[in-house]
Amino acid sequence: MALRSRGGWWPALCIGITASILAVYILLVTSNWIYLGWHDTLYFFSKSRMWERFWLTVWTATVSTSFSLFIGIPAGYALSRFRFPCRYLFASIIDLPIVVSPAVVGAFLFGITTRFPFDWISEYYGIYISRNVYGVLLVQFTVTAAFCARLMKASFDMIPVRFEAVSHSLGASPLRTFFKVVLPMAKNGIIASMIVVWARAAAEWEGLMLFVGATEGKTDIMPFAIYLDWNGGMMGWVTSMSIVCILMAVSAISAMKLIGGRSNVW
Amino acid sequence: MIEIANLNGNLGEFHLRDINLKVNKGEYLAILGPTGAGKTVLVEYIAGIYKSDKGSILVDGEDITPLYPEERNIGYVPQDYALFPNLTVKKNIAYGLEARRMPSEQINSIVSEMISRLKIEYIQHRMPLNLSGGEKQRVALGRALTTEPKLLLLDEPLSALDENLRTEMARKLRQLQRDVNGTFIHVCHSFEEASDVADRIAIMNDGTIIQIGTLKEVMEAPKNEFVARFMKSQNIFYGLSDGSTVKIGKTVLFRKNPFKGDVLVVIRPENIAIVENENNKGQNVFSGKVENAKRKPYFTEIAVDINPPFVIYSPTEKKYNKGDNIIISIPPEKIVVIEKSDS
Repeated sequence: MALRSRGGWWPALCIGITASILAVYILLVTSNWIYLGWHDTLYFFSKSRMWERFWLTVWTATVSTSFSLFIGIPAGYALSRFRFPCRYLFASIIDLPIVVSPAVVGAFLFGITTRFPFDWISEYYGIYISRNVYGVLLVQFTVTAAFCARLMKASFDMIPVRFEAVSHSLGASPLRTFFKVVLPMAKNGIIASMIVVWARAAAEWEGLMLFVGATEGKTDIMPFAIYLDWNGGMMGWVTSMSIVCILMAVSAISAMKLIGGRSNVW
Repeated sequence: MIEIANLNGNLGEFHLRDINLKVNKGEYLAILGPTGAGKTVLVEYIAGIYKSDKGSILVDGEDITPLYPEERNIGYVPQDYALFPNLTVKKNIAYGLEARRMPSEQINSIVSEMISRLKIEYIQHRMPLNLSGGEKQRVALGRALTTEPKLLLLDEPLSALDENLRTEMARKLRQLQRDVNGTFIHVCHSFEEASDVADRIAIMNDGTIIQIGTLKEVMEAPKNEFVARFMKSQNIFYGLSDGSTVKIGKTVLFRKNPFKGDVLVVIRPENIAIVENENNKGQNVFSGKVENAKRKPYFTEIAVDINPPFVIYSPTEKKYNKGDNIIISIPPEKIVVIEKSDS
């Protein structure tokens, strides 16, 4: 059953605005592609430098998303279900990295890791995280963990508490209830949220710029590499990597819509 | 036996106040009240979802008030049944037994017996999303009963069903309760539904229980105006009593009662008889004209313009028209006189 379609100027105006937004985005992508041309596209896409950066982006985003999930799922569940002291303060603090620019997060990370006891640990054990791939993971994790907790809370909020009450009344412990009832019911929401978190981690670069800096082949994930190549005037690389980023984003959004559409979160 | 003593709870704007209730083993109690009366909240307190501020809940003499829901062995079936959507019907029914870590052969045997008792063999491998309302209800009951709870709480279990199915499922529910000799508390807001299933009825309003008794007791001896109105006693009047008669409007009713002064008079419409013999001039016999007559499925509801106007139910097929003369008789023992309270 579908709603009866209407004619008139108002629907036409709304659809027209939507179409113009879409046209702008299509123009952005196609103009870049036209600028690059098929020959250059194939050239840049065949270079190992492109795919090294691509895989660095993919695996760092995947690892940091996994760590974010370890924090985000219990934190999201706690925010959704439990009443504890300073709950609202905790909820506000966890929102900070979403609101604050990632550059600020990078600056703070730099400040923390260069002071006691982290500077001492780095010196004593020879573990340095601010100029290598561990730094990339730390920045991605710091930026996305709070985001992940927020999305997980939304997923758990969608599940009526009655299901847990019934599970408890049947003799199941809170832990069993969580793993047997809540988590399976939140599955689609969690997967959809996971994709968004992954995309957010893959798109991170401001925090990296401040905290990690650029080391070719070690810390230059795609968005960061685009910025560096832009400064170096390598427009071919910038355009071809932008196209890859757009394809990654389109894939993530499609997967999110496909899975998340059934979760009522997205 | 379930004994609830002075149970009080505070849920922000809503308060549960001084709940005192005893439910015998094998008894079916219906909690009846209007929307917002606190019926569901009371059930949730008994299930252990909320922590009470004051009072106690005893099950077979054991104080379960401080226990968590999973430690109480009290079954709970919410209004929408809350079947776990990620588990098949069979897995839903086995859930409580698996939580108790029973051996799998024992679980299979108990679950199969329950499935057979509820006659749901044909849906045992289906997911809950694909079940009808009646099927969902049976699965939820099976899931709750497999753990042999000391008490089963049913929160409006028939409200999602259509009227015909509701009557049928009420009968089956009652039969099931007798078969398992279970103690059931059933929340509903229809007194027809309560009368279909319950041994006793507790009337609730504004967070407290107002009256408990059998259907007959609650219908024929309502404790106050709220109960009388809720039980659809349509003839409710304020009057003046001298101990042997009660004056309401211009009518004097003969009815001995212990009160003198302002009282509330309640007469159920079905307790007022239509007198065919015009020479009958006994006590509490009055004549008047038909003001309005509405045909209902099993009786005719007639409004008679005596002062005050009475509503009566005539079970006969006889047709009454506006303006017809009618003589009615009210047996004194069917007149309920309640002391008028300030509230």
